[in-house]
Amino acid sequence: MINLEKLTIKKAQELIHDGEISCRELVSIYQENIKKRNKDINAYLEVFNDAFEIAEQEDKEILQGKELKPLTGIPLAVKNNILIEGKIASAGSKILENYHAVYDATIIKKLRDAGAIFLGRTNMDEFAMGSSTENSAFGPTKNPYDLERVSGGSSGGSAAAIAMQGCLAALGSDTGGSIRQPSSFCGVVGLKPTYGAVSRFGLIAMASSLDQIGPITKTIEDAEIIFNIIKGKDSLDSTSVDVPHSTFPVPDKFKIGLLKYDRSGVDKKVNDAVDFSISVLRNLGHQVEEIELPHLEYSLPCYYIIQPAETSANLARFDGVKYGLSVNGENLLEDYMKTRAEGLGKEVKRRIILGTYVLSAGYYDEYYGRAQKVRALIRKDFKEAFESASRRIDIILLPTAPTPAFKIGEKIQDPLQMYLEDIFTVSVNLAGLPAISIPAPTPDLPIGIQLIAPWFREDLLFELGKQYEKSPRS
Amino acid sequence: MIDIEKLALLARIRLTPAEKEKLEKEFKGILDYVSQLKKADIRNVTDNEASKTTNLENVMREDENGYEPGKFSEKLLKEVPSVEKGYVKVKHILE
Repeated sequence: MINLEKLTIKKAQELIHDGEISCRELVSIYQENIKKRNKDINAYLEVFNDAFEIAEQEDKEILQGKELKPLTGIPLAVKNNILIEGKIASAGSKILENYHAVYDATIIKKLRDAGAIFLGRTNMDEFAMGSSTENSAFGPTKNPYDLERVSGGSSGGSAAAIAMQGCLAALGSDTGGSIRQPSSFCGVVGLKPTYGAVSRFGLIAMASSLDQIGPITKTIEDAEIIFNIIKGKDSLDSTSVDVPHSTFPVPDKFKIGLLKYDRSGVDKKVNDAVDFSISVLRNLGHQVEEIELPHLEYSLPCYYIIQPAETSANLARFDGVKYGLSVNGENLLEDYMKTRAEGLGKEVKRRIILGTYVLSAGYYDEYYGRAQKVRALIRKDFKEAFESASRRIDIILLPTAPTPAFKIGEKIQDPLQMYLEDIFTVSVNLAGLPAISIPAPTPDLPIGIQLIAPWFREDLLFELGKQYEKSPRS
Repeated sequence: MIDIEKLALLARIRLTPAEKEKLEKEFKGILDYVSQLKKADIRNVTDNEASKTTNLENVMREDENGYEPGKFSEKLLKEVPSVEKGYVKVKHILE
């Protein structure tokens, strides 16, 4: 019998290669587990019934002696804002409850070509807006470590699916922390790649200057395997680029900048996890020094102007005319107003209207224009930390989230409280940087620490992350 | 004072009186919070810098190799709420 908790993509590849397990067996094991646990956790919105057939096909190809593809037989879960042809792409919203994707997202095509098997589509905050999945129109995803707590969000279903042993790895999207924060809450690894490193063709857009797709996995190595398959320029997404080869090699000894933050506003267990991580990294021979980035305190207010602004424009497409829910009114305007009133949830309405406000004539300069300038300053702070001759920081270290998983219902009534969950993650999206959340050893609820690298230096995150992962855990 | 009613109309979302009242309250809190940005010194940031926060460049391609007409029509129209003779049907917008 396989120890599922210890199974990684890497190990599963070996088992399939050696004929120790078939693709069908692996898929069945996960499907059984989902059957047992999903009714309590609600990580999956739907389990696909064609997964077994695809596994069967792959087993046949193996028997015929065909060469194994990089992800042959590897069962994955997919956040439900990523399009898979023929499957429902609801984005956690009533307005798309019955919408079937008419094409594959580029990353789905790449993973399919690599042999991966999609087990199902996972729950999320509606249109990826939220930090707990409580904004899903289909009920919250509970945390597999404690069913009274949230899984984090917005990619909570994907992170929980891995933590409940309901898949080997998953895809998420991250606009302000939506891969990293649920990964922290569910004790898994979550990578937010550099802006432009992964194609977003086929991702339901929320805030286009911030959105990025990335893997959620059990280990750094697995995140690296998936990232290497999904990265690269795509002619269907003109914001995507080929990841440039760095002229700077990976250093033997990293210079790590510990971001100075207000420790009194952060859960003691999170602070402890950061302190522990510093000692681990120092023991590995790396240099850790405290750094300050002067404009970072403005990250969250800056984010909550830019993101609703872009959201209000992107979500204008849901009007009951082209797809999704359509509610009949007396005239076209009434159709729009009723369709959106019925189809969209509270948080989505709040952000669309907030975005409409900050973009409206008379307020544009005061809010959106100013936020874009502050965003430029935040980006500059990072650039100086990474590139100025006097500093030359390789990696920045900080918490992923200010708390471990909180109780269901604890923050949902107060939008500002929920927004504060993103305090450590949004600056990375504003600057377009790559970052990863890695589980720190904790006595009870999982807590992640976050590493941030310079643009397109995912390789640094993988290298330091692997060293951290391998180090003694107590 | 924020005119929620007008914003909701611009955003094409019908709100109930209760929703309106709740949003008015919440907006005050959120706008107070984001107004922290007023303290940031942005005098030295040019409009050009502010427009380049994503490092994007224009990407051009030749206008060629288009799809053959109708290739995706059937699939796309299947998701459209109201269709007539292969067209997306909407209510008239001109009186």
